[in-house]
Amino acid sequence: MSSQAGAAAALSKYKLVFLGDQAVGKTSIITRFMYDKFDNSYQATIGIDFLSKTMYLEDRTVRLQLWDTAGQERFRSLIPSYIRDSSVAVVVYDVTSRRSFLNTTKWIEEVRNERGNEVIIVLVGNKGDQSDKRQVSTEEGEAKAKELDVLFIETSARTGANVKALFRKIAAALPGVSSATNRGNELIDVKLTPQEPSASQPQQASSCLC
Amino acid sequence: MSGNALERLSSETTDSARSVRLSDNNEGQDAVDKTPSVVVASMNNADGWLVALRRADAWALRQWLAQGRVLPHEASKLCNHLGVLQTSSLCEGVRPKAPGLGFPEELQTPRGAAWVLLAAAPDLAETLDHICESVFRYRQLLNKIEQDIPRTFQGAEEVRQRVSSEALVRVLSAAAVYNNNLYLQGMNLYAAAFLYVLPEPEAFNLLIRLIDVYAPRYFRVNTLAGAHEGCKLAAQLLQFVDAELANRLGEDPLGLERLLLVHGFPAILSLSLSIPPFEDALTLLDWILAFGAHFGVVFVVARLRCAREQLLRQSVSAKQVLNPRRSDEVFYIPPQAIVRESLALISQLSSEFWEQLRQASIR
Repeated sequence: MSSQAGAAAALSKYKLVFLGDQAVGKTSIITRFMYDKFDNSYQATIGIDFLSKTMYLEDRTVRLQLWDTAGQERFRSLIPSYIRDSSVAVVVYDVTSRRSFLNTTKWIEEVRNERGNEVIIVLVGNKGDQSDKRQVSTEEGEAKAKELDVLFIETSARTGANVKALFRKIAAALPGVSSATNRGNELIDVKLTPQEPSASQPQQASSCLC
Repeated sequence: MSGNALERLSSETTDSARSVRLSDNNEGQDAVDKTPSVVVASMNNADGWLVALRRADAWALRQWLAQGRVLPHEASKLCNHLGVLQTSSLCEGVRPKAPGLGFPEELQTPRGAAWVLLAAAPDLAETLDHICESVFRYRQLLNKIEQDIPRTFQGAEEVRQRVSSEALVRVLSAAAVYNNNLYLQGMNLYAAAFLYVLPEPEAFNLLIRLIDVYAPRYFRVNTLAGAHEGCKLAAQLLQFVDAELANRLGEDPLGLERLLLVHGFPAILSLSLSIPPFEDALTLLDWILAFGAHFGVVFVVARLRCAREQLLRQSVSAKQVLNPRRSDEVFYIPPQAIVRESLALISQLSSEFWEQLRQASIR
């Protein structure tokens, strides 16, 4: 306990805001990260939800405050103030919904408008396990991330694939985290869908921060 | 209760509900105003089960609701009426004879009949046509509505068994058409609760009563001001009735007001429906439909008070109490305890504060 208390003293806090269309899986990703569970929520997120979690990295401990926003348009007016407050924006789309992918452009624009370059943006393609319903390829996601100069990863909250990797990637990009932590990425990146070996290469490349 | 008694009960319910509507039509609204105490709906069965919802009582409730006259010192009168509802089998919910089958009237329950009375839901003869017609008219609305359907009380099997997706789509699209072609996301929760105890036309009528009468300020376009104000008032109310608990919760990194703004908001906006279990939320909805949406704000504070010991010890979080996202996250508080605590809270309020609470949802 005493060593934990010591770590707590040096704890850095970071605010993450989760954005994206309705039902793309923002809450599910957070639930997987927080409790390692996949279980449908009782109802859609109403307004904003708030959770926090301490993440123990190789060289330090960070406290992540997660703002889970409702994807329903009705609650959009609440979101800008949470974006303004955050150092990380996680923009989620559903790989089985092209529309949700197209709308990430607007979400990222909104973050840039509010925060300029003072923010880490991660584009996340969720529901990667549903290969038969896929409407957005991994390559398209990567290309968009590159074009908009944001990080990219595909996840599946259902199977848990790459959810830890997503948060490691975020942690590694946080200001003040040494590159030693960064190396952790390669160990846990998991390929989500069966595809030709060459296709997974760029994903790893784009997870690099340079 | 025997199967026969149940069956008789539900058919009597339907009959009395129908007679309510018929007599409304016959007498006209003015005549109703002047009729002091006609027993309109009273249901008996062999077990001595009794729901006596007098026309005059229901009318008084409506009047009080409409005029904002439900002040703390009057609340006890109303509680007696509601007490009848609460202690009767009404809260247990009588099962429909044939869920999902046959004519919609068969889905009406005593609770549903009581809700229609309490809400003074108008009997719109053309409603059903309206519903059927509107479904196919607005594809854009439908897209949004259909996205919400699978996310309605997930995991609550009883809802899935009794409320069909088709009925939800019809009622929601009709309400959206009625509401200037605006579908307010989240209306699926209220609609499903109404459809659980009522056939489609009545469920639709109750839904538009929510928008027009109970909580226009929760539903108005592009503003959630009413529910936000409710959160702030909940924080003030807690501070007023239990400073120790308020201060403890204020230690949260969010601070008390923001804590309630985040975690109190879903319960207030959804009229408690966001918190499982589903059947318990119906009991709370009885009171909201009788008193007004502001009762939902009081419920939030009452829940915190019921979980006081655990919150002070920090063995549960305000989020678990007010904003659990899955059934296994819930810190369970029996609805009767929430109601009891709410009534105790209300008795301590000034008329001014009560009026502020009331205005937050309707002004």
